[in-house]
Amino acid sequence: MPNYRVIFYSVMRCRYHLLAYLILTSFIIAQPKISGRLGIGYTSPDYKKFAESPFPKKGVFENMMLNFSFTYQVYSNVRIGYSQWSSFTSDKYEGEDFKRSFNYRAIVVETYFFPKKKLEVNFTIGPLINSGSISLTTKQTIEAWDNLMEEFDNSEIDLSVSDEMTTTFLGITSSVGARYYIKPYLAVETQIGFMENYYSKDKWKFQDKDIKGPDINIEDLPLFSFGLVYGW
Amino acid sequence: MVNFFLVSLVCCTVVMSQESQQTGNACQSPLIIKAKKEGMRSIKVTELPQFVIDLWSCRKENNSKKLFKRINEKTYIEDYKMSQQFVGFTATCAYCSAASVLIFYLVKLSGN
Repeated sequence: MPNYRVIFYSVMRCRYHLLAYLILTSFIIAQPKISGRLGIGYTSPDYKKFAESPFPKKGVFENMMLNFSFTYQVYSNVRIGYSQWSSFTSDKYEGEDFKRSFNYRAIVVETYFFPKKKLEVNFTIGPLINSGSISLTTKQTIEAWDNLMEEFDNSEIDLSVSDEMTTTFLGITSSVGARYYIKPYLAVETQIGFMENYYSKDKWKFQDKDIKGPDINIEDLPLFSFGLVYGW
Repeated sequence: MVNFFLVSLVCCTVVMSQESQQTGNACQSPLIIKAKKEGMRSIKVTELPQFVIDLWSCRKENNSKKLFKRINEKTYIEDYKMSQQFVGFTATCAYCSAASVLIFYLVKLSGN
């Protein structure tokens, strides 16, 4: 008597393989339009605590963010892709190297239409998975290392110690933009939109321990951006 | 890293060693003719290296500038025709996005 269970599972496995093959090859055959974007954006976070002494002073580029994104056209009016905004500061805190960064990462769905030849109006929406980190690199002496060094007739040395506190938070983003094609493969784009973030100062981690982070206001950020798009 | 370079080298060699059809005029390659008729987007990503090579060979031929301009123009027209208006669910996504941006700025401007 044939083992129907084994036959059923092997048929199902073949089906999954066939389905996966069809999905993968359909992407290859479907003449995709892939595009990448590099841009800068302006936003207005309220860094509160970071604006006070002894933190580094706010720079000119404090409100600027760098952006890159990759999208893939899945339909005549739709692209899906990944977009990342980065805000980064590097300075001195009490004489030590201090770095702060916030990365806003989005899986975006972008719908668009052409009201005129060469001119595209697009609408982007997507969830955000963001991360923040604050790192400090300090120079210090450690007695055990000093003792070891002295064993070999060395004088005491400064050790560089670096660590960071991190957080992850969710959000949503949406924007409306216009793209003008200079060449079929090159375009300039401007967008206006926002980011709605669910940041909490109580959800930071440092060496696997829950700690409190800085009190900053990045909950609802307006966003204006300009970028260059290269794609096929 | 070494493997990556080896694979890249093999890929480049394969792509570069593809014999382009010698038709006398480099601008008459099948891919360029296809792009001229249907726009650049009709060229598949896999055909892209060959298309770029063909364009590079074509650039010194007579009337190549005119040809490139025609291909570009055809591409703009095809893009425009293809995505002139929203189709199906795409309009819903656009409305959602536009409405959320509008509401966000109205709330911001009203000071709440």
